[in-house]
Amino acid sequence: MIRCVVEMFGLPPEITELREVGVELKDGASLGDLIAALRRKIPALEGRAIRAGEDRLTQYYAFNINGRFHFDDSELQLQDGDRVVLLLLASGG
Amino acid sequence: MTGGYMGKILFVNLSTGKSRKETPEESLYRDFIGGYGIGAQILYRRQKGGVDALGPENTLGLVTGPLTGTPTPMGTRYTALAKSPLTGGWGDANAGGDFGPHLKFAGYDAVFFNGIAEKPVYLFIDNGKAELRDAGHLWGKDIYETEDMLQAELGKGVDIVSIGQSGEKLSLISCIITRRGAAAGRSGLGAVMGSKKLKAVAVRGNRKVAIANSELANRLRREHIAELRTVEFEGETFFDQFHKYGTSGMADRSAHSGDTPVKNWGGIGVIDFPDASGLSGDATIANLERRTGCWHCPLSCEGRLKGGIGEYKYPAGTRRPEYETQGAFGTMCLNNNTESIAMANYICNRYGLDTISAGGTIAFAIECYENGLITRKDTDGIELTWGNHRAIVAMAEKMARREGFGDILADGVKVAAEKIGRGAEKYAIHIGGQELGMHDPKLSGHGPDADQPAAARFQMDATPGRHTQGFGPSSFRGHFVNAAGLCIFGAFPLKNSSKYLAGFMSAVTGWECSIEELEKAGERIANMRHVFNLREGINPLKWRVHPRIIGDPPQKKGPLAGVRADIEAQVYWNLGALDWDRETTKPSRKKLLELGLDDVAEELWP
Repeated sequence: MIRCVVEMFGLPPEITELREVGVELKDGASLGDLIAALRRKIPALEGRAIRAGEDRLTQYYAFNINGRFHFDDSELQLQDGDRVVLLLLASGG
Repeated sequence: MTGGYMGKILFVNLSTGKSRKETPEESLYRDFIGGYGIGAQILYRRQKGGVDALGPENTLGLVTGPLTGTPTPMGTRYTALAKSPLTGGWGDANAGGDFGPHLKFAGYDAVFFNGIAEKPVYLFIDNGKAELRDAGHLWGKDIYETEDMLQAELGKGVDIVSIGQSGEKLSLISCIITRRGAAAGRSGLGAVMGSKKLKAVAVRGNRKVAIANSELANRLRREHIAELRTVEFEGETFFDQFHKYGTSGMADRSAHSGDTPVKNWGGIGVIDFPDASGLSGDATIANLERRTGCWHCPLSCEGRLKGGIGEYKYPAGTRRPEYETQGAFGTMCLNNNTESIAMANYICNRYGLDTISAGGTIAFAIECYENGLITRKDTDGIELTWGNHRAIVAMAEKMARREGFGDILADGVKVAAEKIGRGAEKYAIHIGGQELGMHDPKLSGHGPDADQPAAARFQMDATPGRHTQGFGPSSFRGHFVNAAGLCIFGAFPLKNSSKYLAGFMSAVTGWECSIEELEKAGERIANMRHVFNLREGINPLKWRVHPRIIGDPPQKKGPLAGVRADIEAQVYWNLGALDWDRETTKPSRKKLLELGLDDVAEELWP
């Protein structure tokens, strides 16, 4: 069992006002599985941070996992204890 | 003449008062496009290395691009350029408004100045006729006053760039401004203009920019705008968001996402600046009077405020602050007071100070104050503490006027740290003397071949500290966009801008342009800017990159926890991709010959 606390930064309040959310995943779970779990926990992520109908992030978001950024590698395997941050990449000028 | 270009460049000698027109060979335009492409080629050829950036031998250029003032959406920009007194190397800055198109309507693609006038002057170009006029009555006036006086003096239809008192007083972070706040901000070019006693350039004209294929250009315009309107951006369309807020729509979220540097690059937004609501788009437009835009721009992302009625009484018509200003005077200083940021923006626009450098320098000064390196005795009684918006605004005005402690800060953090001493340099966040734009490179540009080597570009671009230029092959298209006179917001939101960039260049000029040719021109431009610096003895590998910029050590909490930007890998890989030497950064002889820079190849590889 992988227990993961996903911190979230830069998300608009209309998506969520939570700063973090806990998810439980099976051993060997992938980043795609994490995205699916996040969608179930916070449905408003779909269409904004998560592509509609897909277990992938939209172009304006990324994960920081243990200090490394991941954008589109839904096959990445997660480990128990991974530090996961979901954050907004887009900004102004 | 090829479409898009006026075919004339004006050269003005301020020492002698004489000017001459030149008709460049088409190859100058085709190889270097416009803007800082043409500028780098001209300065490298006609100005020797090692000149005093504030002396008569430095050349100041104001250069448009072939798409400036044409049906191309966002074809509104011009570039100011010179040797930078702030960094000692290549300097350029880009601005919108109406000046670029109107310089072309007045008959010129560009105007270059060398020498120093005996007394303050301004240049007036009226439908091709250029005249230096006495500016004694304007010297000492701010930008607002200067624009009003010149418009009254010269009549309708005049467009003006000018400097305020900051440029007159040679502040190394001063800038050149048009329309009360469209700033050619970076590189300290206001000081170059001030050193020449050149107060303003006013242009007026009704000449037409020839368009090779108007029907195609106008059709592409309709398609381009229609496509831009479909681009989605964070819950709405890019078009709607930028028209409503400009770049200020997400500064509150950027303060927490890790994008905007916090507390002089040493903080974490969610911890040190938990309430960033004063930087939200809605807060920033709460006092909006109207929206407007640059010349014929369909996006029109500018905003003008009603007069401030609270503590900060900026006048009606003050520009709504943009993201960089919100970062520099807001997040960097832990200042959440919306109106104070509008006031600081007004001060910078009025006196002609770069908001990025000014806010960054105040953040540095606050950190020095909080750590006891300077006291109220030094700061003329102003308590420079984090988030003290009154102090921030007061010090911005002192910097703009070079008064009291403001005189110490008016040349940016590097010079201020040298003057303060006592170890202040540890708080001076700059590269090569220039304060950084408000985008933390730890957030983007991951891996050496990432879309934008975000950390490396701050160090390695010819104008260090910039986030808008770039480094490596990923920068070539952007260099073309800048040189062509286009606003980047017309290109970057699109999934594939190739169709429009090549299409507009072909339709306007009549050349058959491929995106490959245009990107090759961008590569050529990148090399010219860089060799200018090499000739000045600059090797960007030797610029110090403050550890906070790259996360060394990484932050322990927040969105960037554990992240250290791999700047070394980004630099290494991109130097290889550029075929620049990995120690000296010299472009190889083979690369220079490939780009048609044969004479540069002979100089660098005799």
